Amino acid sequence: MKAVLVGSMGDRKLYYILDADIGDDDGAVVTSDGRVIMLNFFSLVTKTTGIKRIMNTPFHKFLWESPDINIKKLWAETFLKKTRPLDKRFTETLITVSQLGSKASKSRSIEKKVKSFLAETNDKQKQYNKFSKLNTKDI
Amino acid sequence: MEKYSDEALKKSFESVSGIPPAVKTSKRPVSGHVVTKSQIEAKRRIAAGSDDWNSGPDAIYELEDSDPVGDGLTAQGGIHIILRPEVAGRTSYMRGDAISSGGRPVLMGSQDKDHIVDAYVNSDGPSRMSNIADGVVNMLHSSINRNEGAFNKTTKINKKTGNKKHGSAPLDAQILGGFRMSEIEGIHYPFSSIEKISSVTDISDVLENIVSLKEIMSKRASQAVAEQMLADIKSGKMMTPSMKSLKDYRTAMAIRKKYEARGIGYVLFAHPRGLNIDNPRTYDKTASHRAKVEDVLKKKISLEILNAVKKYVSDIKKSRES
Repeated sequence: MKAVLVGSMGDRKLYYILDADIGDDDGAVVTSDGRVIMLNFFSLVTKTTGIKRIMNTPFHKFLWESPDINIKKLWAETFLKKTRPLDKRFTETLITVSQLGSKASKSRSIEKKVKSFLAETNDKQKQYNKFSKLNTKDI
Repeated sequence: MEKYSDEALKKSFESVSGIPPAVKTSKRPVSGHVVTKSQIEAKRRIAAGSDDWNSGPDAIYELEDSDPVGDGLTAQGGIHIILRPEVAGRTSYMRGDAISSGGRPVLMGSQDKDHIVDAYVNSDGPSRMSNIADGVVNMLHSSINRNEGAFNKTTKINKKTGNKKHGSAPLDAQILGGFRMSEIEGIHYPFSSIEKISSVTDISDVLENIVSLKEIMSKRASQAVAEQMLADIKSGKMMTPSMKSLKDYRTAMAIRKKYEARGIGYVLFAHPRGLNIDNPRTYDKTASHRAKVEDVLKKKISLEILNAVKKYVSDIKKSRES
């Protein structure tokens, strides 16, 4: 799954799922306690007031701002019909996540532990290498 | 032109329902959902299969992410606002999401079978064909098995994996012109939201004299242990299930008072298991119907504390013996 954080509703985060197929849920709301509610993105946003929209990348602007006549078809094919993959100019600066909610934080915590373990192991390996070199020279 | 695409999309759907694009946002419909008797019955059937659920007529069930009333509705918030029957006169509904399914709304009071079937079966959105297939199958299923609870079932098939995902579509409602405070009949407030904030609710007035030193010592606790336990009870370090229930109950009553002061007719609490927190028998099956919930809980707290003391003394004794 490729999800992009696109806004918030109070203490809830709103994600758009980039790789959802037509008919699949293409939106997700992550609650403050890490619960993930999958839903139809545009159905939710057209019903809900008070969504704080993120607008800091070309993708976010493309998603949220009303498309002008030239790209209206492109917008509908990308977000509604899902027949057109997202253009490269929108994906270049985009940060996506593959997991949401408590699963994501669990996976982040495991990733952190693995990195710290690897860093520690690497240091030991370096120390061992240095030590081995010294010994070789001595011999 | 609208600033945001979702607003443009909403206007486009509403123009199909006959609302011209020029109509101001404040005059446009607001969304809600319709809950039918068969959907409530479907939840009641789930409750009837479990001992610790309430399937009685006073049960109000909190919405879940996957729910017979409709999946994903919790994303819009947990408080259910129940509108007065007269609002139905300017409300239309359809099966599924108004926007994503491109549904065909029917007026709520309509008796026209063709219009109702159209709202249940047809749609014009991108998933039109699968929506129609679901609608037709559900109609046949409901008719053959006389199971009205199946009318909003959905089946989504992943084209890549072939996996099927079953769910329930909400009955989307559009209320023309929104609604006024005076049109709110009542509120169903989610119990899980109460639990999130109840830990800070004060029950020290109850704990102050809930048990005496003498009562604790009568369970063979030494004076030092009894004094420490009393201190733990008063400081809130010791928490029993009924103390938590009392905190939840008092929080719920404060919320009720707040909304009723604003003119809302009633505030009831929707519980994940349908438990009625206003009923003393929810806490103690032997309690009188007329008993006050706080009195029932006070009695239970006292019993729970003395049982905890008894267990503590017995555990200490066992550990010394071994």
